[in-house]
Amino acid sequence: MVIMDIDFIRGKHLTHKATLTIPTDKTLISIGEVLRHFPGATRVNLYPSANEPRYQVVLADRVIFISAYNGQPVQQVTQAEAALMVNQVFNGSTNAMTAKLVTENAPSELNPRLLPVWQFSINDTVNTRLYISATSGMLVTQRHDYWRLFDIMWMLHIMDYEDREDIHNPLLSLMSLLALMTVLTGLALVFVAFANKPSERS
Amino acid sequence: MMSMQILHRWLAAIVGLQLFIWVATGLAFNLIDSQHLNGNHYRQKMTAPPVDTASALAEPSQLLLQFPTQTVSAITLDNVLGKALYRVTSDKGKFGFWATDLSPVKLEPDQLKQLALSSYSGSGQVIAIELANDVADKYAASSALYRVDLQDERNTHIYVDATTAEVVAHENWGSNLKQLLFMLHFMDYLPDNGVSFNHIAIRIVATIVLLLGISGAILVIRKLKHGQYRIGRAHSENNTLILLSPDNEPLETITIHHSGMLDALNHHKERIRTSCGGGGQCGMCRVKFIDHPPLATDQDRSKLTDDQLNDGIRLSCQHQAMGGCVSLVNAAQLRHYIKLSSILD
Ligand code: FES
Repeated sequence: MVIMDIDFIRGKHLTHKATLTIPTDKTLISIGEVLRHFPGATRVNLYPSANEPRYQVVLADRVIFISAYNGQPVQQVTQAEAALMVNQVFNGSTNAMTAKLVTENAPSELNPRLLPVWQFSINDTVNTRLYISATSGMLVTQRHDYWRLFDIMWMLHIMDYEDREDIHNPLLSLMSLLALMTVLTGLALVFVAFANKPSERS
Repeated sequence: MMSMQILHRWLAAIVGLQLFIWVATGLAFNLIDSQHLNGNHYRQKMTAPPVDTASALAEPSQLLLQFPTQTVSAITLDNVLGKALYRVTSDKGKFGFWATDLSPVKLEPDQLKQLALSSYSGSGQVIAIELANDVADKYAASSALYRVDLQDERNTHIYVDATTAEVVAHENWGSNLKQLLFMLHFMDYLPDNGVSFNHIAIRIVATIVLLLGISGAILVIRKLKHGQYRIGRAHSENNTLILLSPDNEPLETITIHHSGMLDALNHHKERIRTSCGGGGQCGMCRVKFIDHPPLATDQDRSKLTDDQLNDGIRLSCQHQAMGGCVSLVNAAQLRHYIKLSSILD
Protein backbone atom coordinates (compact mmCIF):
# COMPACT_ATOMS: atom_id res chain seq x y z
CA MET A 1 0.00 0.00 0.00
CA VAL A 2 2.86 2.37 0.73
CA ILE A 3 4.26 1.78 -2.75
CA MET A 4 1.07 2.83 -4.50
CA ASP A 5 0.84 6.60 -4.52
CA ILE A 6 -2.46 7.60 -2.97
CA ASP A 7 -3.16 10.40 -5.45
CA PHE A 8 -2.69 7.90 -8.26
CA ILE A 9 -5.03 5.47 -6.51
CA ARG A 10 -7.64 8.19 -6.18
CA GLY A 11 -7.29 8.75 -9.92
CA LYS A 12 -6.19 12.38 -9.65
CA HIS A 13 -4.25 11.93 -12.86
CA LEU A 14 -7.32 10.80 -14.79
CA THR A 15 -9.08 14.13 -14.78
CA HIS A 16 -8.36 17.83 -14.70
CA LYS A 17 -10.95 20.10 -13.21
CA ALA A 18 -8.83 23.23 -13.41
CA THR A 19 -10.22 24.25 -16.78
CA LEU A 20 -13.75 24.62 -15.47
CA THR A 21 -14.44 28.27 -14.94
CA ILE A 22 -17.51 30.45 -14.70
CA PRO A 23 -17.94 32.13 -18.08
CA THR A 24 -18.15 35.92 -18.13
CA ASP A 25 -19.42 36.40 -21.69
CA LYS A 26 -23.17 36.57 -21.04
CA THR A 27 -25.01 38.33 -18.25
CA LEU A 28 -26.25 36.09 -15.48
CA ILE A 29 -29.55 36.50 -13.78
CA SER A 30 -29.21 38.62 -10.70
CA ILE A 31 -28.59 37.02 -7.34
CA GLY A 32 -31.23 39.32 -5.88
CA GLU A 33 -33.75 37.79 -8.24
CA VAL A 34 -32.78 34.29 -7.19
CA LEU A 35 -33.22 35.20 -3.55
CA ARG A 36 -36.56 36.86 -4.24
CA HIS A 37 -37.68 33.66 -5.88
CA PHE A 38 -36.38 31.46 -3.08
CA PRO A 39 -36.68 33.59 0.04
CA GLY A 40 -35.73 30.69 2.30
CA ALA A 41 -32.35 30.14 0.63
CA THR A 42 -29.59 29.66 3.20
CA ARG A 43 -26.83 29.37 0.66
CA VAL A 44 -26.49 29.97 -3.08
CA ASN A 45 -23.64 28.55 -5.08
CA LEU A 46 -22.75 29.72 -8.60
CA TYR A 47 -20.75 27.16 -10.55
CA PRO A 48 -19.93 26.21 -14.14
CA SER A 49 -21.66 23.08 -15.42
CA ALA A 50 -20.78 21.63 -18.80
CA ASN A 51 -23.63 23.50 -20.51
CA GLU A 52 -23.98 26.77 -18.67
CA PRO A 53 -23.31 28.43 -15.33
CA ARG A 54 -25.83 27.36 -12.70
CA TYR A 55 -27.08 28.42 -9.32
CA GLN A 56 -27.32 25.75 -6.70
CA VAL A 57 -29.87 27.00 -4.18
CA VAL A 58 -29.81 25.40 -0.74
CA LEU A 59 -33.17 25.56 0.99
CA ALA A 60 -34.02 24.30 4.43
CA ASP A 61 -35.35 20.99 3.13
CA ARG A 62 -33.94 20.55 -0.38
CA VAL A 63 -31.44 21.67 -2.96
CA ILE A 64 -32.46 23.16 -6.30
CA PHE A 65 -30.43 23.75 -9.45
CA ILE A 66 -31.31 26.52 -11.87
CA SER A 67 -29.71 27.89 -14.97
CA ALA A 68 -27.86 31.15 -14.27
CA TYR A 69 -28.70 32.31 -17.79
CA ASN A 70 -32.48 32.05 -17.66
CA GLY A 71 -33.47 30.76 -14.22
CA GLN A 72 -34.92 27.53 -15.63
CA PRO A 73 -34.78 24.71 -13.05
CA VAL A 74 -32.69 21.68 -13.97
CA GLN A 75 -34.47 18.57 -12.72
CA GLN A 76 -31.99 16.06 -13.93
CA VAL A 77 -28.79 16.37 -15.90
CA THR A 78 -29.15 14.78 -19.32
CA GLN A 79 -26.82 12.09 -20.58
CA ALA A 80 -25.61 14.45 -23.28
CA GLU A 81 -24.62 17.08 -20.74
CA ALA A 82 -22.94 14.57 -18.45
CA ALA A 83 -21.00 13.19 -21.42
CA LEU A 84 -19.93 16.71 -22.28
CA MET A 85 -18.55 17.07 -18.76
CA VAL A 86 -16.65 13.79 -19.12
CA ASN A 87 -15.13 15.02 -22.34
CA GLN A 88 -14.12 18.25 -20.67
CA VAL A 89 -12.40 16.74 -17.67
CA PHE A 90 -11.16 13.29 -18.71
CA ASN A 91 -7.52 13.00 -19.75
CA GLY A 92 -7.86 10.43 -22.48
CA SER A 93 -10.00 9.08 -25.24
CA THR A 94 -13.70 8.60 -24.60
CA ASN A 95 -14.40 6.79 -27.89
CA ALA A 96 -15.47 3.50 -26.34
CA MET A 97 -17.37 5.12 -23.50
CA THR A 98 -20.73 3.79 -22.31
CA ALA A 99 -23.16 5.50 -19.93
CA LYS A 100 -25.63 4.37 -17.31
CA LEU A 101 -27.85 6.32 -14.95
CA VAL A 102 -27.61 5.03 -11.39
CA THR A 103 -30.35 6.21 -9.05
CA GLU A 104 -30.32 3.43 -6.46
CA ASN A 105 -28.08 0.56 -5.36
CA ALA A 106 -24.80 2.36 -5.69
CA PRO A 107 -21.93 0.13 -6.87
CA SER A 108 -19.61 -0.78 -4.01
CA GLU A 109 -16.98 1.59 -5.33
CA LEU A 110 -19.28 4.59 -4.92
CA ASN A 111 -20.54 6.30 -1.79
CA PRO A 112 -24.35 5.93 -1.91
CA ARG A 113 -24.73 9.52 -0.72
CA LEU A 114 -23.52 10.68 -4.12
CA LEU A 115 -26.54 9.21 -5.92
CA PRO A 116 -28.06 9.82 -8.39
CA VAL A 117 -25.15 9.73 -10.81
CA TRP A 118 -24.31 9.10 -14.41
CA GLN A 119 -21.78 6.29 -14.54
CA PHE A 120 -19.47 6.52 -17.53
CA SER A 121 -17.38 3.44 -18.30
CA ILE A 122 -14.43 4.52 -20.38
CA ASN A 123 -13.69 0.85 -21.29
CA ASP A 124 -9.94 1.34 -21.27
CA THR A 125 -7.31 -1.11 -20.00
CA VAL A 126 -7.79 -0.16 -16.35
CA ASN A 127 -11.62 -0.01 -16.55
CA THR A 128 -11.84 3.63 -15.66
CA ARG A 129 -15.24 4.85 -14.57
CA LEU A 130 -16.22 8.47 -14.12
CA TYR A 131 -19.19 9.43 -12.00
CA ILE A 132 -21.06 12.62 -12.86
CA SER A 133 -23.70 13.83 -10.45
CA ALA A 134 -27.11 13.69 -12.11
CA THR A 135 -28.22 16.69 -10.05
CA SER A 136 -25.32 19.13 -10.32
CA GLY A 137 -23.70 17.80 -13.47
CA MET A 138 -20.29 17.93 -11.80
CA LEU A 139 -17.68 15.18 -11.64
CA VAL A 140 -18.02 13.48 -8.25
CA THR A 141 -15.35 10.83 -8.47
CA GLN A 142 -13.32 8.51 -10.66
CA ARG A 143 -12.38 4.86 -10.20
CA HIS A 144 -9.95 2.54 -11.93
CA ASP A 145 -8.62 -0.98 -11.38
CA TYR A 146 -5.79 0.20 -9.17
CA TRP A 147 -8.32 1.80 -6.86
CA ARG A 148 -10.18 -1.51 -6.76
CA LEU A 149 -6.93 -3.35 -6.04
CA PHE A 150 -6.14 -0.91 -3.25
CA ASP A 151 -9.61 -1.44 -1.87
CA ILE A 152 -8.96 -5.19 -1.66
CA MET A 153 -5.67 -4.53 0.11
CA TRP A 154 -7.50 -2.26 2.51
CA MET A 155 -9.89 -5.12 3.22
CA LEU A 156 -6.93 -7.39 3.99
CA HIS A 157 -5.33 -4.63 6.05
CA ILE A 158 -8.30 -4.17 8.39
CA MET A 159 -9.53 -7.78 8.13
CA ASP A 160 -13.13 -6.74 7.59
CA TYR A 161 -13.84 -9.14 4.76
CA GLU A 162 -17.44 -8.11 4.33
CA ASP A 163 -17.99 -4.38 4.25
CA ARG A 164 -14.33 -3.33 4.23
CA GLU A 165 -14.97 -0.49 6.62
CA ASP A 166 -15.11 -1.66 10.24
CA ILE A 167 -11.66 -1.26 11.76
CA HIS A 168 -13.00 -2.27 15.18
CA ASN A 169 -13.80 -5.86 14.31
CA PRO A 170 -12.88 -8.58 16.85
CA LEU A 171 -10.93 -10.68 14.35
CA LEU A 172 -8.55 -7.78 13.86
CA SER A 173 -8.30 -7.30 17.63
CA LEU A 174 -7.35 -10.93 18.12
CA MET A 175 -4.83 -11.00 15.28
CA SER A 176 -3.28 -7.70 16.31
CA LEU A 177 -2.88 -8.91 19.87
CA LEU A 178 -1.20 -12.09 18.69
CA ALA A 179 0.98 -10.06 16.36
CA LEU A 180 1.91 -7.75 19.18
CA MET A 181 2.98 -10.65 21.36
CA THR A 182 4.92 -12.13 18.45
CA VAL A 183 6.74 -8.88 17.85
CA LEU A 184 7.52 -8.39 21.53
CA THR A 185 8.90 -11.91 21.96
CA GLY A 186 10.75 -11.51 18.67
CA LEU A 187 12.30 -8.27 19.86
CA ALA A 188 13.30 -9.96 23.09
CA LEU A 189 14.98 -12.75 21.13
CA VAL A 190 16.83 -10.25 18.97
CA PHE A 191 17.96 -8.49 22.09
CA VAL A 192 19.16 -11.71 23.67
CA ALA A 193 20.93 -12.80 20.52
CA PHE A 194 22.84 -9.54 20.14
CA ALA A 195 23.41 -8.82 23.81
CA ASN A 196 24.83 -12.25 24.65
CA LYS A 197 28.23 -11.48 23.21
CA PRO A 198 31.09 -13.62 24.56
CA SER A 199 31.93 -13.02 28.17
CA GLU A 200 35.45 -11.78 28.75
CA ARG A 201 38.19 -14.02 27.54
CA SER A 202 40.06 -15.80 30.24
CA MET B 1 26.41 -17.27 2.19
CA MET B 2 24.72 -15.78 5.18
CA SER B 3 22.36 -18.23 6.78
CA MET B 4 18.65 -17.56 6.73
CA GLN B 5 18.63 -17.31 10.49
CA ILE B 6 21.28 -14.60 10.63
CA LEU B 7 19.52 -12.70 7.87
CA HIS B 8 16.25 -13.00 9.76
CA ARG B 9 17.86 -11.76 12.94
CA TRP B 10 19.48 -8.74 11.33
CA LEU B 11 16.28 -7.77 9.54
CA ALA B 12 14.47 -7.97 12.85
CA ALA B 13 17.10 -5.83 14.52
CA ILE B 14 16.77 -3.15 11.84
CA VAL B 15 13.00 -2.88 11.61
CA GLY B 16 11.79 -4.55 14.79
CA LEU B 17 11.05 -1.33 16.58
CA GLN B 18 8.98 0.13 13.73
CA LEU B 19 7.17 -3.18 13.31
CA PHE B 20 6.29 -2.97 16.98
CA ILE B 21 5.03 0.59 16.47
CA TRP B 22 2.92 -0.50 13.50
CA VAL B 23 1.27 -3.33 15.35
CA ALA B 24 0.80 -1.35 18.56
CA THR B 25 -0.74 1.69 16.85
CA GLY B 26 -2.85 -0.55 14.64
CA LEU B 27 -4.17 -2.28 17.72
CA ALA B 28 -4.83 1.11 19.30
CA PHE B 29 -6.92 2.16 16.30
CA ASN B 30 -8.75 -1.12 16.52
CA LEU B 31 -9.46 -1.01 20.25
CA ILE B 32 -10.03 2.67 20.94
CA ASP B 33 -13.62 3.72 20.36
CA SER B 34 -13.73 6.19 17.45
CA GLN B 35 -15.68 8.58 19.65
CA HIS B 36 -12.61 9.13 21.81
CA LEU B 37 -10.52 10.11 18.81
CA ASN B 38 -13.18 12.31 17.30
CA GLY B 39 -12.18 15.96 16.95
CA ASN B 40 -15.79 16.88 16.21
CA HIS B 41 -17.13 15.73 19.55
CA TYR B 42 -18.65 19.15 20.24
CA ARG B 43 -19.14 20.21 16.66
CA GLN B 44 -22.64 21.10 15.65
CA LYS B 45 -24.17 22.00 12.36
CA MET B 46 -24.35 25.75 12.18
CA THR B 47 -27.93 26.90 11.95
CA ALA B 48 -28.13 28.83 8.73
CA PRO B 49 -30.84 31.47 8.60
CA PRO B 50 -31.95 32.54 5.12
CA VAL B 51 -29.54 34.92 3.43
CA ASP B 52 -30.25 38.46 4.54
CA THR B 53 -31.66 40.44 1.62
CA ALA B 54 -32.50 43.65 3.44
CA SER B 55 -29.65 45.51 1.79
CA ALA B 56 -28.93 45.04 -1.92
CA LEU B 57 -26.24 42.50 -2.73
CA ALA B 58 -23.51 42.97 -5.29
CA GLU B 59 -23.64 40.57 -8.25
CA PRO B 60 -21.24 37.62 -8.41
CA SER B 61 -20.30 38.72 -11.93
CA GLN B 62 -18.77 41.86 -10.41
CA LEU B 63 -16.61 39.60 -8.29
CA LEU B 64 -15.51 37.66 -11.35
CA LEU B 65 -14.04 40.89 -12.71
CA GLN B 66 -11.69 40.91 -9.74
CA PHE B 67 -10.25 37.55 -10.81
CA PRO B 68 -9.46 38.11 -14.48
CA THR B 69 -6.48 35.76 -14.61
CA GLN B 70 -7.70 32.95 -12.39
CA THR B 71 -10.09 30.14 -13.12
CA VAL B 72 -12.99 30.58 -10.75
CA SER B 73 -14.73 27.28 -10.13
CA ALA B 74 -17.39 28.53 -7.72
CA ILE B 75 -18.83 31.59 -6.04
CA THR B 76 -20.89 30.84 -2.98
CA LEU B 77 -23.23 33.21 -1.24
CA ASP B 78 -23.43 32.40 2.43
CA ASN B 79 -24.75 33.90 5.61
CA VAL B 80 -22.19 34.41 8.35
CA LEU B 81 -22.89 36.20 11.64
CA GLY B 82 -26.03 37.60 10.11
CA LYS B 83 -24.23 39.13 7.15
CA ALA B 84 -24.23 37.90 3.57
CA LEU B 85 -20.83 37.08 2.12
CA TYR B 86 -19.37 35.58 -1.03
CA ARG B 87 -16.67 32.95 -1.07
CA VAL B 88 -14.75 32.71 -4.31
CA THR B 89 -13.03 29.41 -5.05
CA SER B 90 -10.28 29.83 -7.62
CA ASP B 91 -7.15 27.93 -8.55
CA LYS B 92 -5.27 30.24 -6.17
CA GLY B 93 -7.41 29.45 -3.15
CA LYS B 94 -10.54 30.64 -1.42
CA PHE B 95 -11.37 34.31 -0.74
CA GLY B 96 -14.18 35.93 1.18
CA PHE B 97 -15.99 39.20 0.36
CA TRP B 98 -18.89 40.88 2.12
CA ALA B 99 -21.76 40.64 -0.31
CA THR B 100 -23.03 44.20 0.07
CA ASP B 101 -19.88 46.12 -0.88
CA LEU B 102 -17.49 43.35 -1.95
CA SER B 103 -14.91 44.44 0.63
CA PRO B 104 -12.54 41.58 1.56
CA VAL B 105 -13.53 39.69 4.68
CA LYS B 106 -11.20 39.95 7.65
CA LEU B 107 -12.88 38.79 10.83
CA GLU B 108 -12.07 40.55 14.11
CA PRO B 109 -11.30 38.49 17.22
CA ASP B 110 -14.79 39.01 18.47
CA GLN B 111 -16.29 37.70 15.25
CA LEU B 112 -13.89 34.76 15.21
CA LYS B 113 -15.07 33.88 18.68
CA GLN B 114 -18.72 34.20 17.74
CA LEU B 115 -18.28 32.08 14.62
CA ALA B 116 -16.35 29.42 16.51
CA LEU B 117 -19.00 29.25 19.22
CA SER B 118 -21.79 28.90 16.69
CA SER B 119 -20.20 25.63 15.58
CA TYR B 120 -19.71 24.42 19.15
CA SER B 121 -22.23 22.48 21.23
CA GLY B 122 -20.19 22.23 24.43
CA SER B 123 -20.34 24.56 27.38
CA GLY B 124 -16.69 25.63 27.58
CA GLN B 125 -15.61 29.28 27.61
CA VAL B 126 -13.23 30.74 25.05
CA ILE B 127 -9.90 31.21 26.80
CA ALA B 128 -7.63 32.27 23.94
CA ILE B 129 -7.61 33.25 20.28
CA GLU B 130 -4.29 32.97 18.50
CA LEU B 131 -2.99 33.18 14.97
CA ALA B 132 -2.21 29.64 13.81
CA ASN B 133 -0.82 30.15 10.35
CA ASP B 134 1.88 27.54 11.02
CA VAL B 135 -0.72 24.84 10.43
CA ALA B 136 -2.58 26.65 7.64
CA ASP B 137 -1.23 24.23 5.00
CA LYS B 138 -2.48 21.22 6.90
CA TYR B 139 -6.04 22.55 6.75
CA ALA B 140 -5.69 24.09 3.28
CA ALA B 141 -6.54 27.41 4.89
CA SER B 142 -5.27 30.93 4.28
CA SER B 143 -2.49 32.47 6.34
CA ALA B 144 -5.15 34.21 8.43
CA LEU B 145 -6.02 30.98 10.23
CA TYR B 146 -6.84 31.42 13.92
CA ARG B 147 -7.13 28.95 16.72
CA VAL B 148 -9.88 29.51 19.25
CA ASP B 149 -9.19 27.62 22.49
CA LEU B 150 -12.04 26.48 24.67
CA GLN B 151 -11.96 25.46 28.26
CA ASP B 152 -13.66 22.09 28.36
CA GLU B 153 -12.71 18.61 29.45
CA ARG B 154 -11.64 17.73 25.92
CA ASN B 155 -9.44 20.74 25.39
CA THR B 156 -11.36 21.64 22.28
CA HIS B 157 -9.77 24.11 19.90
CA ILE B 158 -11.52 25.43 16.85
CA TYR B 159 -9.73 26.62 13.75
CA VAL B 160 -11.34 29.55 11.95
CA ASP B 161 -10.16 31.16 8.74
CA ALA B 162 -10.54 34.93 9.12
CA THR B 163 -10.58 35.67 5.37
CA THR B 164 -13.17 33.09 4.33
CA ALA B 165 -15.16 33.19 7.58
CA GLU B 166 -15.19 29.42 7.68
CA VAL B 167 -14.84 27.06 10.61
CA VAL B 168 -12.06 24.92 9.24
CA ALA B 169 -11.72 22.23 11.90
CA HIS B 170 -12.40 21.18 15.46
CA GLU B 171 -9.62 19.46 17.36
CA ASN B 172 -9.29 18.15 20.91
CA TRP B 173 -7.01 15.86 22.85
CA GLY B 174 -8.66 12.86 21.24
CA SER B 175 -7.99 14.02 17.71
CA ASN B 176 -4.48 15.06 18.74
CA LEU B 177 -3.90 11.53 19.98
CA LYS B 178 -5.29 10.23 16.71
CA GLN B 179 -2.85 12.37 14.77
CA LEU B 180 -0.01 11.12 16.93
CA LEU B 181 -1.06 7.52 16.24
CA PHE B 182 -1.24 8.26 12.53
CA MET B 183 2.17 9.90 12.62
CA LEU B 184 3.61 6.74 14.16
CA HIS B 185 1.62 4.40 11.93
CA PHE B 186 2.65 6.27 8.78
CA MET B 187 6.21 6.92 10.00
CA ASP B 188 5.45 10.54 9.33
CA TYR B 189 8.10 11.76 11.71
CA LEU B 190 8.78 15.01 9.91
CA PRO B 191 6.23 17.41 11.35
CA ASP B 192 3.68 19.44 9.44
CA ASN B 193 3.86 17.84 6.03
CA GLY B 194 0.34 16.55 6.29
CA VAL B 195 -0.37 12.88 6.71
CA SER B 196 1.37 10.81 4.08
CA PHE B 197 2.22 7.13 3.82
CA ASN B 198 3.92 7.27 0.43
CA HIS B 199 7.37 8.42 1.41
CA ILE B 200 10.65 6.66 0.82
CA ALA B 201 11.42 5.79 4.45
CA ILE B 202 8.21 3.84 4.97
CA ARG B 203 8.67 2.08 1.63
CA ILE B 204 12.13 0.88 2.65
CA VAL B 205 11.04 -0.27 6.09
CA ALA B 206 7.93 -1.97 4.71
CA THR B 207 10.06 -3.85 2.19
CA ILE B 208 12.45 -5.01 4.91
CA VAL B 209 9.52 -6.14 7.05
CA LEU B 210 8.24 -8.12 4.09
CA LEU B 211 11.65 -9.81 3.78
CA LEU B 212 11.60 -10.43 7.53
CA GLY B 213 8.25 -12.17 7.14
CA ILE B 214 9.43 -14.23 4.19
CA SER B 215 12.66 -15.34 5.87
CA GLY B 216 10.72 -16.20 9.02
CA ALA B 217 8.22 -18.23 7.04
CA ILE B 218 11.04 -20.10 5.31
CA LEU B 219 12.61 -20.92 8.68
CA VAL B 220 9.32 -22.18 10.06
CA ILE B 221 8.65 -24.33 7.00
CA ARG B 222 12.14 -25.83 7.19
CA LYS B 223 11.74 -26.68 10.85
CA LEU B 224 8.33 -28.17 10.23
CA LYS B 225 9.73 -30.33 7.46
CA HIS B 226 12.42 -31.67 9.74
CA GLY B 227 9.94 -32.37 12.48
CA GLN B 228 11.64 -29.96 14.82
CA TYR B 229 8.50 -28.59 16.37
CA ARG B 230 7.37 -30.44 19.40
CA ILE B 231 4.42 -29.54 21.50
CA GLY B 232 5.03 -29.37 25.21
CA ARG B 233 8.12 -30.31 27.11
CA ALA B 234 9.76 -33.60 26.35
CA HIS B 235 8.39 -36.10 28.75
CA SER B 236 10.90 -37.31 31.25
CA GLU B 237 10.69 -38.57 34.77
CA ASN B 238 14.31 -37.82 35.25
CA ASN B 239 14.84 -34.27 36.33
CA THR B 240 18.58 -34.23 36.91
CA LEU B 241 21.49 -33.74 34.60
CA ILE B 242 24.85 -35.24 35.31
CA LEU B 243 27.62 -33.22 33.76
CA LEU B 244 30.75 -35.17 32.91
CA SER B 245 34.22 -34.08 31.85
CA PRO B 246 35.47 -35.04 28.38
CA ASP B 247 36.96 -38.09 30.06
CA ASN B 248 33.62 -39.02 31.56
CA GLU B 249 34.51 -38.07 35.10
CA PRO B 250 31.48 -36.68 36.94
CA LEU B 251 31.72 -32.94 37.51
CA GLU B 252 28.37 -31.89 38.83
CA THR B 253 24.74 -32.84 39.16
CA ILE B 254 22.33 -30.19 38.01
CA THR B 255 18.59 -30.05 38.58
CA ILE B 256 16.76 -29.01 35.44
CA HIS B 257 15.10 -25.62 35.78
CA HIS B 258 14.79 -24.62 32.12
CA SER B 259 13.24 -26.05 29.02
CA GLY B 260 16.32 -25.59 26.84
CA MET B 261 19.36 -27.81 27.36
CA LEU B 262 21.88 -24.96 27.26
CA ASP B 263 19.83 -22.93 29.73
CA ALA B 264 19.52 -25.95 31.98
CA LEU B 265 23.26 -26.54 31.88
CA ASN B 266 23.97 -22.87 32.56
CA HIS B 267 21.54 -22.58 35.45
CA HIS B 268 22.88 -19.90 37.81
CA LYS B 269 26.33 -19.85 36.23
CA GLU B 270 27.82 -19.99 32.79
CA ARG B 271 29.26 -23.46 32.84
CA ILE B 272 29.41 -23.51 29.08
CA ARG B 273 30.53 -20.35 27.38
CA THR B 274 28.96 -19.32 24.08
CA SER B 275 29.20 -16.35 21.85
CA CYS B 276 25.89 -16.45 20.03
CA GLY B 277 23.79 -16.84 23.14
CA GLY B 278 21.82 -19.82 21.98
CA GLY B 279 21.34 -18.90 18.36
CA GLY B 280 22.89 -22.03 16.92
CA GLN B 281 25.61 -20.02 15.23
CA CYS B 282 28.78 -20.22 17.31
CA GLY B 283 28.90 -23.94 17.92
CA MET B 284 30.47 -23.38 21.33
CA CYS B 285 27.62 -24.94 23.25
CA ARG B 286 28.27 -28.42 21.89
CA VAL B 287 28.02 -31.28 24.37
CA LYS B 288 27.80 -35.01 24.09
CA PHE B 289 24.50 -36.66 24.94
CA ILE B 290 25.57 -39.95 26.45
CA ASP B 291 22.26 -41.79 26.73
CA HIS B 292 19.79 -40.87 24.04
CA PRO B 293 21.08 -38.20 21.68
CA PRO B 294 18.13 -36.28 20.22
CA LEU B 295 17.51 -35.99 16.49
CA ALA B 296 20.07 -33.67 14.90
CA THR B 297 18.74 -30.30 13.75
CA ASP B 298 19.86 -28.19 10.79
CA GLN B 299 22.05 -26.19 13.11
CA ASP B 300 23.67 -29.35 14.44
CA ARG B 301 24.37 -30.52 10.93
CA SER B 302 25.86 -27.22 9.85
CA LYS B 303 28.22 -26.97 12.83
CA LEU B 304 29.16 -30.59 13.47
CA THR B 305 30.70 -33.35 11.39
CA ASP B 306 28.94 -36.61 10.73
CA ASP B 307 31.32 -38.38 13.10
CA GLN B 308 30.52 -35.94 15.87
CA LEU B 309 26.81 -36.34 15.23
CA ASN B 310 27.16 -40.12 15.38
CA ASP B 311 29.01 -39.75 18.66
CA GLY B 312 25.96 -38.01 20.11
CA ILE B 313 27.44 -34.54 20.03
CA ARG B 314 24.83 -31.81 19.63
CA LEU B 315 24.50 -28.07 20.05
CA SER B 316 22.88 -27.92 23.46
CA CYS B 317 21.16 -24.64 22.61
CA GLN B 318 19.10 -26.38 19.95
CA HIS B 319 17.64 -29.07 22.14
CA GLN B 320 15.26 -29.46 24.98
CA ALA B 321 16.53 -30.22 28.43
CA MET B 322 16.26 -33.83 29.47
CA GLY B 323 17.64 -35.76 32.37
CA GLY B 324 20.66 -38.00 31.97
CA CYS B 325 24.40 -37.81 31.38
CA VAL B 326 25.94 -35.11 29.28
CA SER B 327 29.66 -34.59 28.83
CA LEU B 328 31.82 -31.70 27.83
CA VAL B 329 33.63 -32.38 24.58
CA ASN B 330 36.94 -30.56 24.71
CA ALA B 331 39.70 -29.31 26.96
CA ALA B 332 38.78 -25.66 26.49
CA GLN B 333 35.29 -26.26 27.85
CA LEU B 334 36.77 -28.12 30.80
CA ARG B 335 39.28 -25.33 31.51
CA HIS B 336 36.49 -22.79 31.52
CA TYR B 337 34.38 -24.98 33.77
CA ILE B 338 37.17 -25.49 36.28
CA LYS B 339 38.11 -21.84 36.34
CA LEU B 340 34.51 -20.83 36.87
CA SER B 341 34.05 -23.33 39.68
CA SER B 342 37.21 -22.21 41.43
CA ILE B 343 36.13 -18.58 41.35
CA LEU B 344 32.64 -19.20 42.54
CA ASP B 345 33.09 -21.94 45.07
S1 FES C 1 25.08 -21.23 21.74
FE1 FES C 1 26.09 -20.78 19.97
S2 FES C 1 25.68 -22.53 18.86
FE2 FES C 1 24.65 -22.97 20.64
